[in-house]
Amino acid sequence: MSDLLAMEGVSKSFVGVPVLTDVSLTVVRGEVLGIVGENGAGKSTLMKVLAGIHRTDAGIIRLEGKTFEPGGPGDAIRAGIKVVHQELSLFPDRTVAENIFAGALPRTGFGTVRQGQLMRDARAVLARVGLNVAASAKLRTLSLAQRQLVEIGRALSQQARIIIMDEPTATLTGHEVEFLKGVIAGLKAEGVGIIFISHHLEEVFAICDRVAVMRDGRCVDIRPVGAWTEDAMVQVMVNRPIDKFFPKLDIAPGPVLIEVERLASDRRFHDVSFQVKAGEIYGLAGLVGAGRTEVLKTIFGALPLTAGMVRIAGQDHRPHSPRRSLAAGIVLTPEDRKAEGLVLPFSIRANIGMSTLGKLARFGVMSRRAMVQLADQSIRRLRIRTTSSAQEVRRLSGGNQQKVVLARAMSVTPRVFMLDEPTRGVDVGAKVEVYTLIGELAAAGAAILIVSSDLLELLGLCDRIGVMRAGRLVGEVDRSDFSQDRIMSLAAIG
Amino acid sequence: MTLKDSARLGDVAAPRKRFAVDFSDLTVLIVFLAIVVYLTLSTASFMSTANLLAILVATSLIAVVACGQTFVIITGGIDLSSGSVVALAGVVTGMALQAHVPMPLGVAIGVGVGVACGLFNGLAVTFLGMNPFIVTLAVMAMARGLAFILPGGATIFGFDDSFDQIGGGLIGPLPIAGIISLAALLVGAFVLGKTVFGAEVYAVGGNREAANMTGIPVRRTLILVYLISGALAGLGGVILTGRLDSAQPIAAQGLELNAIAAVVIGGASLFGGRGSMLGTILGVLLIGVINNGLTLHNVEPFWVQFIQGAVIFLAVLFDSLNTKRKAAG
Repeated sequence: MSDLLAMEGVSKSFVGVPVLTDVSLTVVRGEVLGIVGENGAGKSTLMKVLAGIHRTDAGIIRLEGKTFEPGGPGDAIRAGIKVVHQELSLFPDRTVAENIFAGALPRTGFGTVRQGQLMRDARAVLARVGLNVAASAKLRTLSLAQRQLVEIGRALSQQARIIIMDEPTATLTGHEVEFLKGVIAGLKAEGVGIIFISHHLEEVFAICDRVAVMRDGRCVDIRPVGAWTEDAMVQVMVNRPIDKFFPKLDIAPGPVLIEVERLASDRRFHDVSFQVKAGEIYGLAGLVGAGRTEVLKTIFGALPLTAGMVRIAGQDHRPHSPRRSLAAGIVLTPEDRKAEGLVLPFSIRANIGMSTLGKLARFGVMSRRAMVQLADQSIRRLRIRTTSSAQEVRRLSGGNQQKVVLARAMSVTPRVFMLDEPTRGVDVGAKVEVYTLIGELAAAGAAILIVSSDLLELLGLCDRIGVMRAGRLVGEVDRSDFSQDRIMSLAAIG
Repeated sequence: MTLKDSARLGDVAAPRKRFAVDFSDLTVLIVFLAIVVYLTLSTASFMSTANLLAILVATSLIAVVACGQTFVIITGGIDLSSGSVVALAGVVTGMALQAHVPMPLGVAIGVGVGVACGLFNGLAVTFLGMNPFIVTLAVMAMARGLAFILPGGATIFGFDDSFDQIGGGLIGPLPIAGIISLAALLVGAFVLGKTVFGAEVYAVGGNREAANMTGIPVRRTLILVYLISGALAGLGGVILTGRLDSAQPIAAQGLELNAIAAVVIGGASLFGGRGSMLGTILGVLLIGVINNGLTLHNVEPFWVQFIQGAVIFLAVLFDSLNTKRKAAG
C-alpha cells in the first residue's frame, strides 16, 4: 500500500441525522488533496473524524496500511495528524513562541521552560512560514492572518505526517497566499500528505493535486486538478448551474451619502478621504493590516477618531459610539462574525432584534410578536435556512450566520452599509445570495462600503475600489479601469 | 416555562417538540419538590403555616440580595460586596434613626448607601475597565471597614416600633419582609424578562463586543446592574436592621456567597448571558427549605454548612453535564 491515508466507507450520524455517508478517500505521500463543498456538506465533520474528535459509525481508516482508530485528539496527534483549524485555537495572552510549542515546551531538569531554546526554535519555525514577528511578541498583537501562520507553524513544528488545513487561506491575502504555496511545496517535498479545505476555488486550483467535492455528506466526485474546471466544480458542489456569479446591476448614482475627509485614527491609519454616493458600491482593497477594517470601525465609532471628519448625507457626524452611528443611519457588519457580530447561544430572532430593541417594544416592554415578525420577515427575505427563528445561531452554517448579521443591519434601515469581509467562511451558494442582496441594497439607494480580501469579489461587485497600504489610501480605481494587476501593485507597492 | 429560559430577548432555547419536556431544565424544581415532600412526611411541623412563614422571613434577605445579583451575573459580572453593603446600609440607617431622622427618610438613606456603593462598582467596572471580581472584592472590604468605623465598632439598637415592623412586622398573616422580597423578585422578573433593559442585560452578558457593535449601551447597562444590586443590598440592610432591632457591623457576613449560590443553582452562568429570575427564586427557595429542614431535624450547624456546599456543587455539576450533553448533540 503506498497510500499514506485511506478512508473506506466512512459514515457518521448525529442523533439519527447522517452527516457522512460512505466516504472513501485516499491521500498519498507528497500530495495535496483538496476538499471542497458548501458549508454543511460534511467537510469539517470528516476532518474531525480524522483528528479523533468524532468516532465513525462505520468504515475503516488506514494510516500507512495500519488500521487507525483514534480514541481522542491525543491519538491523532501522536499518529502525526495535525489540524490547522478554521477556528483559531491559540492562546492570545501567551507569546508567539509559547503558542507554537504549546504542550511541548522545552524543559530543564527542574521542569522550568528553557527560554533560550524556545525562542531559537520558534524563530526557526517563523522563518519557515515566513512570518516576520518577534517570537516573544504576545499573540494578541498579531493580525488574524499572522495568527493563522503561527498555527501552521505549530503544525510544522510537530513532525506531522498529514496536515489538515481547514480554510487556511480564509483570511490571508495576496503575498501571504503565495508564501503559503511555498510552504506547502516544501512540505510536499518532505513527503507530508496535505488535506486542503477551502472555499476559494482559485487557491484550490493553485495548490491542490487532486480535488474531491463533497455534497450532503457524500464524496460525490474526485478528479485530478487538471480534469476540473471552476464552473464544473461549482456545479457539482451546489448541484445546480450558477449563471451569474456577480449579478452587477446598473444603478444611476444619487447624491453623496457618506463623505470622509482626512480621517485618522492614532497609529492605525491617517489621511483617508473618499466619498460614496447613493446606489454606489465602494470597495476597500489592500493587504491584511493595511488599515481597512480600522477605517470602517472608526467611521462607526468603535475606534477613536483622532483627526478628520465624516459627513453623512451632508451632515457632520461625530462617531462617538456604534449606538450613535446606528442612529445616524450607518451600520457595520464586522469581519469577525463570531466575536463581534453575533451572540452565538442566542436565537436567530434575539440576534436580529438586537439593534432595534426600542422599536420592538412599547413603553420599554418587549413585544415578542414584533420580534418574531421581524425575524420571520428576515428569514423569508434573506432565505435563511432554519426550522424556526428560535434556533440558536451557533447551530447555523457560516452563510446563514452572515445572513443573520445582514438581517440585523437591514433592520435599522440605514443609508450607509459598511460590510467587512461579508463572505468570509460563506459557501458558494450563499455567497451569490449575499452578492445579489448587496446589489439590491444599492439599487434601493444605499451607499455601500465593502472591505474584502477576495479581490475577485471586489472587482465583481464594486463601482470603485480604493486601495490602502500601510494605513494610507494610496489610490482609487474606477470600474472601467479595473484590473487585478493594477490593484495588487497599488496594494503592495503603493 | 423552563427554569433556564436563557436570554428572554425572545425565546432562545432551541426549538423543542411541543410536549416534550426537557427533563434536565427541571432538575432544581424536582429536587425542591422532593425535599418538600420528604420534609412534609418526616416532620409534623414543616407544612404548618407558622413554619412556612418562618421560611419566608428567613429567606427574605437572601432573596432581595440574590435578585440584584441575578442582574449582575447575567452580564457576566459578580458582586462580592453585597454582604458588606447590607451591613453598612444597616449601620448608617441605624445611626440616622438614632439621630431621630423620620422612618421613611431612614429607609431612603439605607437604600441610598447601597446605590452609592453600586454606582462605585459600576463606574469602576465600566470607565476604569476594572475586573468586577476585584472591584467588588475591594468594595466588600471597604464597606465592611466603614460599617465598623462609623459607629466605632459598636452595635446600634433601640429603634422605633414603626421601623422594626419592616423586618418583623405582619400585614394580615404575611410578614412585611417577605412581601418586600417577593415584590422585589417579581419586579425583577418583569424587568429582566420583559423589558428592553432586560434584553440589553442578556445581550451584554452574551457577547459584550457584539452588543456594543449592535448599538446596545453597554456601559449604561453595566452601571445600572451594579446600581440595582447595590440598591437591593441597601434595602436588605434596612430589612435586617428592622428584624434584629439592631444594626451590627458584623451582620450578613458571607451573605453574598449564598446569594450567588442561589442564582447559580437557578441556572445562571457565571460567564454571562444565561439565567432567569424564576431560576433565582427556585434557588433561594431550595436553600431556604434545606436550611429549614436541617433545623427541623436538629442537624448540627457544622453539617448545615457542609450540606449547603454539597447542594451547590451538585446543582452546578448537573448543569455542566447537561451543557456537555447538549453541545454533543
